Amino acid sequence: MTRRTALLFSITAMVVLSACSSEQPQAHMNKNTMQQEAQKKVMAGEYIVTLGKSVCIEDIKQQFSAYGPNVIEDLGRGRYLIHLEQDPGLNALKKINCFKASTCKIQHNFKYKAFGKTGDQNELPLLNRRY
Amino acid sequence: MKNKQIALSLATALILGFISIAGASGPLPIAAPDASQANTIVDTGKTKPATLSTSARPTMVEGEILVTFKSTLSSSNVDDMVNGMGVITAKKVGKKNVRLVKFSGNMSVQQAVNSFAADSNIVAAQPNYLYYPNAVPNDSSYGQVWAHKNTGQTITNGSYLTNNPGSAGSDMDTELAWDEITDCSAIIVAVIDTGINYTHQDLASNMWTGNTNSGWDFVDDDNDPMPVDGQIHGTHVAGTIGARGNNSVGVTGVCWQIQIMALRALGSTGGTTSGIIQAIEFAVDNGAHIINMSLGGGGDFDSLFSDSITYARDRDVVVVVAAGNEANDNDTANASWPCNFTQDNLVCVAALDQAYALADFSNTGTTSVDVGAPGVNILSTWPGGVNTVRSTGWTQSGSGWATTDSCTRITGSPVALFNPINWCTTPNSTYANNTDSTISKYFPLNDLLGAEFSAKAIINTEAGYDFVRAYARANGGNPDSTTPLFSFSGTAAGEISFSLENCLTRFCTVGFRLTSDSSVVGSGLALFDMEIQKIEYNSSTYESINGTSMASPNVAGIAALLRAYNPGYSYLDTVNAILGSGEDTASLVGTTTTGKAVNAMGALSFINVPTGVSATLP
Repeated sequence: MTRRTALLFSITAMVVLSACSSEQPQAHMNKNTMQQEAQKKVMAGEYIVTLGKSVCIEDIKQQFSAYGPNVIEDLGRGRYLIHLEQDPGLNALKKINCFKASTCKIQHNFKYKAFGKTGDQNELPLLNRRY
Repeated sequence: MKNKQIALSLATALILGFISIAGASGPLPIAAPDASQANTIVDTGKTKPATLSTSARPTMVEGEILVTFKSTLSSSNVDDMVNGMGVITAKKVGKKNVRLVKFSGNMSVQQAVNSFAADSNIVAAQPNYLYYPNAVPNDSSYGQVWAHKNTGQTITNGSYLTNNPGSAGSDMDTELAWDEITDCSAIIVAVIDTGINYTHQDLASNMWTGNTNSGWDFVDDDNDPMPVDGQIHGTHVAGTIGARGNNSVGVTGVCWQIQIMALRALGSTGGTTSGIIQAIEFAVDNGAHIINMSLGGGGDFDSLFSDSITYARDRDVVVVVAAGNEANDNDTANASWPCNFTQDNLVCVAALDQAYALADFSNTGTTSVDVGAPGVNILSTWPGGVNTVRSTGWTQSGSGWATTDSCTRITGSPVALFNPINWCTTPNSTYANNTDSTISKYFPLNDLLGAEFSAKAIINTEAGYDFVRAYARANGGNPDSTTPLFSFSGTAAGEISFSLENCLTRFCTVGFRLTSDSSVVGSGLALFDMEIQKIEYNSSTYESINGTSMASPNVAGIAALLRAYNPGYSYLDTVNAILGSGEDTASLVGTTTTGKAVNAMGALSFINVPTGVSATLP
């Protein structure tokens, strides 16, 4: 990389990524990754991002722009629930510098359920029960 | 005077017995003989005869006394002396030179006390007093709540068939604990679950009053944690912790009075990290002392969920969770979160049956699951009931439809709706070509938890061309302009049902529509046994169900008792008392970290090792 190229890159990065520089991974849908993650009981395409210092949610949206990010909810304490229309998988997202450098954190939005005993008629929701 | 002083000091030592061994860790009796019992202690050399109290029920065990030998005597010396006294048996009691002596029935307890007290090697002799639980609530279904008092009763309608009835005594000794405390009204327990029917007769007066509706709904993001989707789980969990005690109705929670904070983080399809962590932080930030989470998931380590448990720990909050119902070993690849989190403010609970065998569905884990608690056939509060209404009086638009309450082609059907009009009387009849005919009925479905239409159906139409469809419209009128809730073309017989959850209004209309093209017809359709099931909130329903979800709130309730009884207890004191005081239980050895079933009385009487205490020696 020449000095000029490096300068251009850094300017571009500052403009696009604001306080959080990164190299963006290729945006493409990895179906295998999505299926594996679904099996791990996560909400497909949903991630919780915890912002680091000097990073704002707009920076994250910029970095995720190739994946169609939508901020669903501000969870407080610098955390945001986001949905990616095109989900490249957690491992790909972690390659973004902000996460790679541990400046920010990202994780799945995991699914949980009530521990009613499976198959117990009485523990089904009222609407699904038969009398 | 001297004797009196000695007697007083002995009585005091008994009453405040824990002081003499402060620093030791383990269960100790917290109840002490009352004043009348104290003066029955006979000191060596005393001439004052013991006075034994009398009352309607026995106050002491006939044929038994407790004898304290001098501390300078070795245990073997004591055994030799006892054997020379001609007693029937003498069992060592506790760590000191105390023996439970059984003697011949020819001698009264008073005579035995006086006789033994005369021996110079004996410090004191006293009756073996009887203690009785006094705090038995008057709640009408209390006898079915075996977790508090297992008498070997059969739990009516219990769906867990093994060990029903179970073993008398396999319970949490809650009645003994209630002799000390029933009121946890200073304690806030957050129930992070599917929401709570906070209007239930056994919960309403025990709900948290910190905001309008006693909590928050993180599913719908509003301030009403009512289980609007018909989920029953949270209401049941809440009742186990704190159904109002001694109010003459229903069941009894571990705490008779308490503040239950309802946090709805699970909907009809469960919940997610995002809702749960917000619920935990809401609970902590609004003063909860204990959080119950009868929930879990089996994904990868959830860092933010773990951080929230730590957030609670750092603010002195105990978190009680369920082990899970997959019969898994959580220590293997089947980790269950939050059970497998390792923070020391977290207690993970397995489920026991009525004989204290491990419930066949309960998860285990010698490093992750801490204790067991009653978790099958648990009777508790229920958010509502089902009111079934047979539907008659349908109104048609167009032609072809008919109704009857007597159709010879359908056995036992009180109501039938059919097309063509002679479907019942003429089996070979058919509907017309180019038909577009509807029939509908108005149902008031406001103020319900939910509603569902169901019917048995026999359908025969030209497949792919002639259709039967069902509709519902919330604001009345002909419903056929809405999106169909049911659509079928072809031949079938069976049951159809569809939810009316989007039609819970005063003017919900439900309708059916038959359409046909210009060629080929069938025999049409008949609907019978048509019902609207109205899922209604009510405040007086109870059900018994199973799960580690039902075991966890028993422990959360004990944690509340502990913190109410010991306002200075930290989260760690509370957890230590629960884990350190339980009842050794064979089914939990090798399946949990402690091998113990929780015990309310044991937890209250557990003495935590003092920490942070210093003394200056002269």
